[in-house]
Amino acid sequence: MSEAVQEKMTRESPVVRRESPLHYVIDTEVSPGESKDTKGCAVVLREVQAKGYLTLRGNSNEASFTDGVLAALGVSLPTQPGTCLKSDDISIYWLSPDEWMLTTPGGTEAELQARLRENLSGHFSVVDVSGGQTSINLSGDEVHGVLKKSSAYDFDELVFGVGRCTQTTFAKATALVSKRADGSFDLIIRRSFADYIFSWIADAAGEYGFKALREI
Amino acid sequence: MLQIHCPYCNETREEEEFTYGGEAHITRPLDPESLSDAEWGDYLFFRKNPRGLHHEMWNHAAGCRKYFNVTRNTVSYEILESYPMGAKPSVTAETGDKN
Ligand SMILES: [Zn+2]
Repeated sequence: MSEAVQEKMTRESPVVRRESPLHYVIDTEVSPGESKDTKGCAVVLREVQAKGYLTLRGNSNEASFTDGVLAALGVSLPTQPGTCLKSDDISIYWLSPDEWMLTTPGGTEAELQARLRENLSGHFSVVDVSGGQTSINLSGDEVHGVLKKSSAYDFDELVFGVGRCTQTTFAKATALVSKRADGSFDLIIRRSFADYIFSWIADAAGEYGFKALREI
Repeated sequence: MLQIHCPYCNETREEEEFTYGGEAHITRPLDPESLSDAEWGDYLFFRKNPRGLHHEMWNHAAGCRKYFNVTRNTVSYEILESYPMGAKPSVTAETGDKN
């Protein structure tokens, strides 16, 4: 490549930014955990962008599989239906008797995948599905009102506490829903459904007062 | 709307989370080559359509995405049991329809 061509390419290449699916509808940016004035808003949506997502499959009745996962992640695989282990670092969600979703801080998914492959053997599968998902967090006094409008699943505190997760219908699409210790709800949704689900939630939450923030 | 119990999620969920999978317990012939056209056609296309107890498959499409079996009364729509793939029904026409 000639120097002139190389220079032109360097000069004209646009800077490619990793953009969240909702970057064009939510303009209020906050840092993770940052509180923002949400007075008068009984439902607050935060888009948690650019996390890493892996699906893990294997037989949890085989010690080699569960031991390997424990060695790779430092925590045991949740084997009870509809349960999850959440942390700021790695979270694990039960999806089915032989399938789990792992989330990890953005940019660490390849390393996590490599660590799992090092520790697992035999019949298993680890797939990076980061490109297909995004996460939103719903909080506020009226968050249950929005959930009731959006899903037939019963998210009442009595049956759906911290440590539970469920895949269910949400706004006629699907979501993997779980609860944080602060009472807010995390939704892992398909990236391609993100703007549709955002519009649905904005409409459902309108009567309560609604604000959307984007974590950067 | 039916309320269907998924034996894998171990929860009763709304029908909208599921898709119907047709008659259960149909075994694929071990040696299809040796079948007559009538027998092969029967395996592929012909299904029971009983009035009363029916063993059928459902797929938990919006949940765990697993297939499982359900015993349902086609007259009352009452679901008498759901059980994992590979298991046998405990309610059959022989053990008696409650209705
Ligand atoms: Zn299920």
